[in-house]
Amino acid sequence: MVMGDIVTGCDVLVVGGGPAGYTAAIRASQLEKDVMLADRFDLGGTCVYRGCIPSKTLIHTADFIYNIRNPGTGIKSSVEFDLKKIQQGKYEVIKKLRDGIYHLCKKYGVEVIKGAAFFESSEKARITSPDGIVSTLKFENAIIATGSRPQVFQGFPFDGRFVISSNEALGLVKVPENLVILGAGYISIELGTMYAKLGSHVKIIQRSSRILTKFDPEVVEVVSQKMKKLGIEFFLNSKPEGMRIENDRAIVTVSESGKKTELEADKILVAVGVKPNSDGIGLENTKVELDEKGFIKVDEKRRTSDPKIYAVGDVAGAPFLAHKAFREGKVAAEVIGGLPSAFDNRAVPEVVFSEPEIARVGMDEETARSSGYEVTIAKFPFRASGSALTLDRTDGFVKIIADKKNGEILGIHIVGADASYLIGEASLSIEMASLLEDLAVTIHPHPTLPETLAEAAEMALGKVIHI
Amino acid sequence: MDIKFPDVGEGITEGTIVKWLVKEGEDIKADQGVAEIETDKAIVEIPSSKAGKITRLNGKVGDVIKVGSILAALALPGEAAAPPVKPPEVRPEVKPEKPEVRVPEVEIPEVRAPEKATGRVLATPSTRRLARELGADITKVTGTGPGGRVMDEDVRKFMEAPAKPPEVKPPEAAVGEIKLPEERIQITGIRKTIGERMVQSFFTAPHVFSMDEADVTELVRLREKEKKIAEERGIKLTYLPFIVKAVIIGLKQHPYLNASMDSKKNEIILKHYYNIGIAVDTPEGLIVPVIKNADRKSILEIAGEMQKLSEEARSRKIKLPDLKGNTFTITNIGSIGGLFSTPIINLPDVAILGVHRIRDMPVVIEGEIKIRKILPLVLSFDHRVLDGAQAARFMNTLKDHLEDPDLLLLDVV
Repeated sequence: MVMGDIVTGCDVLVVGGGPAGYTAAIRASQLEKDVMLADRFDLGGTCVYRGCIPSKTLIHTADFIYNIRNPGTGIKSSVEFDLKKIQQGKYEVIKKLRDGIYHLCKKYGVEVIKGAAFFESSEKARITSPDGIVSTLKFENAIIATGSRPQVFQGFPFDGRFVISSNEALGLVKVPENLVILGAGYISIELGTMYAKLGSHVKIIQRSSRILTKFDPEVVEVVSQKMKKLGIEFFLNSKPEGMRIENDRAIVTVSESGKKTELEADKILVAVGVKPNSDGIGLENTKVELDEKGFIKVDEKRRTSDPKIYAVGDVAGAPFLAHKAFREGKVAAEVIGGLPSAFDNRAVPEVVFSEPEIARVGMDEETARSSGYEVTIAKFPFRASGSALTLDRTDGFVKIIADKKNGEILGIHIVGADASYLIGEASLSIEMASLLEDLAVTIHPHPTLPETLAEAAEMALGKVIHI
Repeated sequence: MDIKFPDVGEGITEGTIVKWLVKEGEDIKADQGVAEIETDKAIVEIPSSKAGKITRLNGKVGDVIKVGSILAALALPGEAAAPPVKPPEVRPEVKPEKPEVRVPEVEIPEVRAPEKATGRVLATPSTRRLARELGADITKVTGTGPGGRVMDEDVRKFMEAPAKPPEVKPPEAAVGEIKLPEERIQITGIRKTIGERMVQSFFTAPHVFSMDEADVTELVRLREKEKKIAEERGIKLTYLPFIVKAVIIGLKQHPYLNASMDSKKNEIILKHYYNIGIAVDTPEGLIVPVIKNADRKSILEIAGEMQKLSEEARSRKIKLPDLKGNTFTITNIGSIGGLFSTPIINLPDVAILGVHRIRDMPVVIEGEIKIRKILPLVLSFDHRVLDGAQAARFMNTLKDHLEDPDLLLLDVV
């Protein structure tokens, strides 16, 4: 297709090349649609450049360094590291993934255009390439996957030097001596823990009385304890009042019920949520409707209020997770391709790469009860797991919430080593509408951590052996 | 692009191609009709959503085609040949004009429209996908699996309801070799639907027939008088609109007759809206157009609507929404003949009223024989929901209002 100031056409225009967008583009192409994928930057989105991939690469490295420094009984060790080189290693990982996505798009016949898209109507978009060339594109359907960006916190404008978002925090080449973090969601907890392991003095300021408010309090308590052991300080029920720069250092004023404290910081990480990228793309020229926070309103098939336009990923609302975006992208493409798909998942798993890891899928106790379920709850501790003992990772537990009436598994909450892996099986259980019995009678290899899931299910059925 | 046979409404899974409205190679406009398809309820015209050239017609007149399968292939402008055929199993995302029963204020809980399933359902992803494919609202399916899990079979059974009647084998000709002068007519379309419906009704609802006579001398006089006024407005005024009005008064006083039965949940649904089905004889068989919210319409409005709907029914142009949503049905056998009949309930109603021919009859009034206009009435009712006493009371209310039509005025809205 020729670029330039002429009108070209396609069946499906996908705007945004992150997990939601490139997945949607490839699936639509697999369904024999003529697909164009536009992104202002390289393909990959937040996940590849500013989210999942860089953070997990760095967290893994920090864990590795920390574990060498704390090797366990009978081992002596020491370690030195160069964060700059570690960052370079991280870019190699990113590049591999980015190239992989381009390769996949090529393989499946997706035409990729670099440029910012702007909707002129429900069937036409203008694409401006980085060097200013404008082309107009007519489409049968569009899928918006423009993602989200870090939310700004009043009084702490991002300056890239002192006040940074997760974007910059993932690219530091020097470990900050004093790191102050605003907010206590998963980004704050993951990056705070990572930098604490690399040697930062981390202080987390949180307005409410708990950290990770979306997660089960019992689960969070395990992580909280561990973070305190790593030297992380929590300022709960506290409000960041403002900041000033003194001698090339930032001073953050924080107040807790009137009592003011000043905290010194090399870097201030603002991690207070995300804002949808639904502005500046011409949605006012379409029938797409936004909710009061600016997220695009979608239905189960990820159709927007405009019959030609779909929206997927962060821009279509919470949870802001790549795996939710992957699924949504496929759903939208399949619906456009005439398949009976819908985002009808019973649960979206959520993971925090904290110390130890947290993972949850399905309902928590409160939601289950308020939804009218009479629940049965079991908690199987890692310290009763042979595998956890062999790994010397006995902190944590598996908590299972089920419907007392029929044993339907409503939610599984895990805190402990490798919770991020364990949640896979838990997710399948819920998606497959498993009952406690189904999980309990499934044979799990011994000695492994997944056994704890079956044990928890047996416990909920009232017939556990190992405790 | 494929033009598919869309889901035209509740329960319809297949139709017969009656007529092709286009030819292969023909250029068509968007929204132009492609074929006429006879479903078991009406003949529907299937339009093309886009303009283009018809490259292939799938099937010939008389072929039975399933909902969702490809009717014809359309090359869009600029497209050279017919695009590849997609598997016909796939349910298309066409947005059919949903035949909705419009009943203001009142929810119709028993309508099985394929709605968005948002509730939490104990079912695997593949079963949920199957439900979407078949157009079933999985939240309404009762699960028979462990813990109440909805299984594929449950979804299929749900979609098959109303249950298929047992297959009746025709009696084998006793005389083997001799060819009897017989003709075999295939049962399709409306005949087939009537058969299935009647079997389902008669073998689920225990029917009781309550018979009575109403002295409608006054009503005859009134109708004769008002007929002319109606004619001036282009409306043929029959007795039926008066009977509809009297029936509604009866239904309001005896709500269990304006109801249906949810045997799955073991509940009786009392309906606070009055949609009266009127059985119409057509060359293809009986069709029942529905006068919606008849309680809010005047006698003349009902007469006018009835006239329009019966004409549409006879010419098979009636739209599906006009054939749905009945809460009570009236069948007028009188126009053709017969003294009494025993009508079969039109599900999901719980009662049907048969009205017969008005005849001059000798009646004893205050010791004297007088000649009066007598209307025979039969009420068939579902004994699961109603008892004889309730039915008789309803018939009394009905009779009172037919015998003294002035009373109809008291309930004019």
